[in-house]
Amino acid sequence: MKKIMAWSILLLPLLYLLLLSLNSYFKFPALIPKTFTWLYWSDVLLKNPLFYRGLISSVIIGFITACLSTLIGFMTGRAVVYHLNGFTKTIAIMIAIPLMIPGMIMFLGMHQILIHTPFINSILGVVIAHTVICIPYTSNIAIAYFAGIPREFEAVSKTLGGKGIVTFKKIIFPLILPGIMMSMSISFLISNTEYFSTFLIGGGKVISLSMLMFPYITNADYGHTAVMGLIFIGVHSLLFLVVQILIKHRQNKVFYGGD
Amino acid sequence: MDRKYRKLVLLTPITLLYSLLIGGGFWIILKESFGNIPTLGFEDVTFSYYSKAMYTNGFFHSVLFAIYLAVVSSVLSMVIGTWTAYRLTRAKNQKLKRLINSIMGLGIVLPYLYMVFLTMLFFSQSGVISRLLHALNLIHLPSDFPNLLYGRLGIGIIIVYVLKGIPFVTLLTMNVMSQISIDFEQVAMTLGGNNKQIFKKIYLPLSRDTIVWSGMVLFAYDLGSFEVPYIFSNLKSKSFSVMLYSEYLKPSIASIPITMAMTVILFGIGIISVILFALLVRTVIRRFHR
Repeated sequence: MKKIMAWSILLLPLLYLLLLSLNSYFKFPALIPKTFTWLYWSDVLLKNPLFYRGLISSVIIGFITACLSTLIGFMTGRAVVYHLNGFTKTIAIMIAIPLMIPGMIMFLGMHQILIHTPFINSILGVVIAHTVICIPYTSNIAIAYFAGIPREFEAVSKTLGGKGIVTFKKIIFPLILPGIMMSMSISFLISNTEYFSTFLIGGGKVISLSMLMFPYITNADYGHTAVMGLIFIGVHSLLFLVVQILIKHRQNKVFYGGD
Repeated sequence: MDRKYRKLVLLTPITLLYSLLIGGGFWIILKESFGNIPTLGFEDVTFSYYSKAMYTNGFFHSVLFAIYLAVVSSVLSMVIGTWTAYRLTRAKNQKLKRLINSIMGLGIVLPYLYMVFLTMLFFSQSGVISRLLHALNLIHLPSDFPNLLYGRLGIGIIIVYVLKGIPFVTLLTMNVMSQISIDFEQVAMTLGGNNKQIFKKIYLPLSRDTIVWSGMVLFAYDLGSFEVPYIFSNLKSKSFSVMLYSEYLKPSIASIPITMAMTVILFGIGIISVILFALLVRTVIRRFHR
C-alpha cells in the first residue's frame, strides 16, 4: 500500500506532464485528453530558435559555475580544516552568509556592483552571481570531506619523501573526488534552477532554460511548459545518475585497491 | 611563514567574492538610500527617504505577509521533513527507502518555477484534484473548488514552498540521522522506550542543529524569493519581493533613494527575522525533547 502511494507520488505528475505535452487543451471535467498532437514537442524542439541557445547557455553557465564554486569551496574547506582552528560556529555562519540574506535583496546589491563592471548582461556576470550562492554548499561538502581524511596520511607520505604535488595526486585527490563530483553536480543544479538572478544580472541578454519557461508558465501555456519541464527533468536526472554511478565506481577503487 | 601564506591564498577568493559582491553591494545601496548618488546630482546625506519609504502604501503589510508565508511554510516543511527522515532512517524496507529517496531527489531537481507550474496544474480551480472530485461527483463546477492559489492567504505560495522544502529538510536530516549509532536505539528499547520516546530523546536532540540550520535556510529563501509570489499573488496581498521589484523598475529617478531605503529596511528586517526564527525553533525543539 505504502509502495503504491510512493510510486503514484513519483509517477503521477510525470505521467500527467507527458499527457499535457501531447495535448494541453482538454476542458474541465475531462481527466485525460482524447486527441493527441506532436505540435508542442515540434514547437519547442524545432521551431523555437531560442530553445537551443537557452539550453546551451544554461549548460555553459552551470558548468563554469560548478567548476568555479567547487574550486573556491574546496580551497575554503582546506583552509578551514587544516589552517584554522577547526569548523567553529562563527566560521559556519560566515560561510553561510549568502543563504541568510533574502535572495532578492542580495541580488539587487550584486546588480549595483556588477553594473560598474563589464560583466553585466553577460554570461560571466551571471556565473559570478551564481557562484556566490553555490559557495556555502560546496564549502560545506568540502569541509565534510577534508575532515574525513586522517592527517596521518599526509604525514606518512611526507616521511616517505613524497612531495606536495605527489601527496595531493595520490592521496588527497582520490579521497575527495566523490566530494568534488557531488559539489559540482549540486552547484550545476542550483545554477540552472535559479531564475531571478539570471534574469536580473543577465539583463535579458542571457537566455537560460528557466527563463524560457517563465513566459509559458505565466501565460498558463500548459503544453509548452510540460515539454520544457520534461526536458529539464530529463537532463538533470541523467546528470545525477551519471554522478552517482561515477561516485560508486570510484569508491570501490579507493577502498579496495586499484590504482 | 609558508603556512600563513598558504592560508591567505586559500581564503582570498571567498573573502573577495563575499566582501565585494555582498558587502560592496550593500554599501552602495546604503549610500544611495541616504540620497547620495553623485552621478545623478544627489549629493546630500539625509534620513528623509527612510520615513518616506516607511509611509509607502502597503509596505508593512507586504513585509508581514512575506514573514507569514516564510514562517508557515518553513515550519511545515521542517515538521514533515523531519518526520519523513526519521521514518526513512528506521524503515526496514530497503526498496521503499530507495523509492522515496528518488522522489526527494526529484523534488530537489525541480526548480521553484516548475513547482509553481505543478501546483497550478494540480490545485487550481480546474486542476487535476478538482477534476478528480468532479469525477467522484463531489463538485459540479470549477468554482465549487476553493480558490487556493490566488486567494488572500497565499496558500498556493505555501504549497510550493512546502513541496520544495520537504525534500531539502528530509535529505539533510536523514544524512545526520543515518549516522546515529543503532546502539542508542537498542539500549532505549531494552530499557522499555517506545517509538515516540526514541524519536524524542535520541533522534531529535542529535539532529537538532541540522534541522534548525535547514529551517533557517528555507526561511531566508522563502522570505526573499521572487518568482513564486510574483506568479501567485493578487493585488490585495503581495510579498515584499514583488513590491520591491516593481519599485526597482520604476522609471522615475527621484524614487531611487526611496527604493534603496526600502531595501535597507528589508535587509535589516530579513536578517533579524532569520536569526530570531532560528533561535525560536531551537528553543522549541529543546523544550520538546526535554
